[in-house]
Amino acid sequence: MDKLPDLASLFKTYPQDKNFLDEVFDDEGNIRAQYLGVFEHFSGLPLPDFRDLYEYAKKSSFDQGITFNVYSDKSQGVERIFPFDLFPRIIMAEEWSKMQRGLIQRNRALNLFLKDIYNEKKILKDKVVPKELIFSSKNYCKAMMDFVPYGEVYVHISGTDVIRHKDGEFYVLEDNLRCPSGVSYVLSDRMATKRILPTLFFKSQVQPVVDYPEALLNVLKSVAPPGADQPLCVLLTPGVYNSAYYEHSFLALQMGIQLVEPRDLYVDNNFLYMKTIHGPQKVDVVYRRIDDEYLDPLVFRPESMLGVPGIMHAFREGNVSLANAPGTGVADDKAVYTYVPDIIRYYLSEEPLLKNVHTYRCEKDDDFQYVLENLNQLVVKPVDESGGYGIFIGSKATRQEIEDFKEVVKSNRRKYIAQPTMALSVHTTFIEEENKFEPRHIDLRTFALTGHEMEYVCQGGLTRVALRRGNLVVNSSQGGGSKDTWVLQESPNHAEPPLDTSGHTASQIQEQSSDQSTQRQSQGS
Amino acid sequence: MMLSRTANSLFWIGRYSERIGHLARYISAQYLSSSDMPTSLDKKVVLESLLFTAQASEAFQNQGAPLTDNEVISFLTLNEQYPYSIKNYIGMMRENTRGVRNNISTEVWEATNRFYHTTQVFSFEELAKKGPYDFCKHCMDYTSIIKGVVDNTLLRNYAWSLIYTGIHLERAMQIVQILLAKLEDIRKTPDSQADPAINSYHWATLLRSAGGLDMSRHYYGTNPTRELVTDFFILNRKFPKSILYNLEKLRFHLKIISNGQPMTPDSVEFKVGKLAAHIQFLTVDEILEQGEKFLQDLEKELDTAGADLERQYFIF
Repeated sequence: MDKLPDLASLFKTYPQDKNFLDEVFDDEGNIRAQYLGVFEHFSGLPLPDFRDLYEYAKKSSFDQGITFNVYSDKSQGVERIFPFDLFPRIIMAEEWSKMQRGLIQRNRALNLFLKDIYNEKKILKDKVVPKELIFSSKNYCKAMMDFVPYGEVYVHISGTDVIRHKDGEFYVLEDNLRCPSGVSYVLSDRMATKRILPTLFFKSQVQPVVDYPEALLNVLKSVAPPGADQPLCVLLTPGVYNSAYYEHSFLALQMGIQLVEPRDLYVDNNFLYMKTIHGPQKVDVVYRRIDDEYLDPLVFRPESMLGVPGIMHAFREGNVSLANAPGTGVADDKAVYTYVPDIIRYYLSEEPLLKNVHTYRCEKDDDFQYVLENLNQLVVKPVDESGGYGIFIGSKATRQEIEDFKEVVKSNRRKYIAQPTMALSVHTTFIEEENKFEPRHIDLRTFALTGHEMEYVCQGGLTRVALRRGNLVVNSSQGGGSKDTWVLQESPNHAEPPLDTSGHTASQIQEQSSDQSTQRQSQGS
Repeated sequence: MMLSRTANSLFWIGRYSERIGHLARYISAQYLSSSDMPTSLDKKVVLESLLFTAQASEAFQNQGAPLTDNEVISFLTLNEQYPYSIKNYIGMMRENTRGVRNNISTEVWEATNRFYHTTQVFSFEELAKKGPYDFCKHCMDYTSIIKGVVDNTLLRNYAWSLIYTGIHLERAMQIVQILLAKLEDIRKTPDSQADPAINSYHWATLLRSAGGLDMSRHYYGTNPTRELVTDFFILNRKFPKSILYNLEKLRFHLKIISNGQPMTPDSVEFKVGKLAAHIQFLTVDEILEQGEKFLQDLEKELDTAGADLERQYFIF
């Protein structure tokens, strides 16, 4: 039998791809400074020991029930774990501090945008964003018109996807403003790291992520209808067969709130109640993990079996708060994405801190000319369609297809936008089947919270890895895995406040949360 | 605060875990002791008795397999087509536990989840080769672990009491069922009354099936008889499998669940209290006089208690 190599020799044969930015190795093939600790730790390990750690991580996921379910009609479904790569992704304090400010800025602007387009519509009247774009969107929710939720917050939980391009900069790939999921993996990946690599982790000075559920509960309580002395918050799940059920139950447990299904709730006289063994209990805040269209059959899909009839009316009467508010999807689709930098400038009079992937709008002459000349390097999308329909990928098209498509764009310039293909950064990743480390593309889902006078960014995120070689799609359904994401603590000699001074700082949120922990306990009894 | 749906799931977690443990013990005990059987006893009786106890006689007949050790045991343990096999019960228990994940401790969930995953490795081939002991032991051990973490980690309030309400109601029902099964076995072996060896074999097997043989010897210091077994299984307050013990535990847990609300005559607390009080003041002779009818009536009372509990707390 061949003697298995140790990890140090595996790193020596690491097949670095100079076409992409490698998070771990610089262009000369040297380890980047922030990864030295991890590199040294791993180098000392024999491969079989490292593989044992992998097995241990898998077993830990299995026992915790962090599995994806593919259900048939039986109680036993096919279960897969979301592969967890032990090699952590590290983000430096300075980079993170900029990202965090950028995320908060983006959320503020998008919340103001939602309030505006459902009420005064100033940004549309000022023609900063074309009104056809908004009113034609199937995600524009008529049931939200002329109404402002408590705290003027629409998006309480956002999950912005960020990538690093070859130029070393972070770019926002998309905003997820409906029911972004994945934060439970952030917390369970961190748990796994602490269990499996304790010595490495404890000396690495990583920002904690464990306070996320507490921050989320505080955000939910902050938007409760006034008058609820001890607001009752619940998490609304479609049920155990939902693919994100693990996350729903995990968050409810961590927050100490009830995990409810629509059949546990009913509306009476415009108030929302849940059915308990000792009679009805009024509910004040619903963190709902059910899509808009299944929320209330009286307002959305009448045939929905999932919804709570009358909940929208109770919401509009101000008797219950919903997080996120319905209708936020209008602000996170492809077309609106291209306007986010303008949206930020319009409401905040600030330059965007986080970059958007550059977008060429064919209606503008300069942009149109550029698009025609560089079609083979661009991705062209129709602005009014979502879900990937009508997308033209220049690098994969034949010469004839490119010529044909030019005519299509010419015939309706307003309809098309174009973006360069982004070169997602790669990260050293253990490839189990080959007993090797190889570069794989990664992205980052961040998690930010907005409450009434309260802002929070999870100090980490879900780094998703495209495990198939060359695959740019980093998605769990496409054979993706995840990495624990380490945001390094700032070194004490140049410490600065973690957040923008105009908002609440992280420490303020923590102060508030410690006040409320006693309330939470008494509520649970 | 406790959702009615959650309460229902917790109650069924208790019932399933008790049923799994009980069935596993019963199958294992019946199978092992069938080899010690006095020669005059028909092996078919043992297998029929197994099916009767699991309330699976009809379902087994319908699927048409011959009445052999292997067929009966695979049917009751690993068969996924039969909805009430132990394997499917484990799946259902886990689904219920998943559904109440935020009301229980991580330890309870992880133990249940591990039970489910570790059960997937058992195969029919292995079962046929090695017999049911390994599988049954696995189930008995895991249900003990689960009850242990329930006891060691849950707050002494609704969730804990609902699981235990399920456990004690199920246990009382199962005890009634195995007593009825034993009376049926004895009827099928007509000379058993006359032959003390067969008689004793039946009662010892019954005690072993409920995990009570050692303790009954210890308590009574004599070989089991019908009188002794009746006393032990119905009236003995110290034996955790006895009807009276379980009814008293049910009263205790129902009181916690009711949260001090006043008891009305149509409430489940009231009815269970009444039943316990009635049984408490029966003598062994009175029970034996009524014979099978006593057990049949008790079975009905327990079914009614289950229905009352559902009506009172679980409607959602």
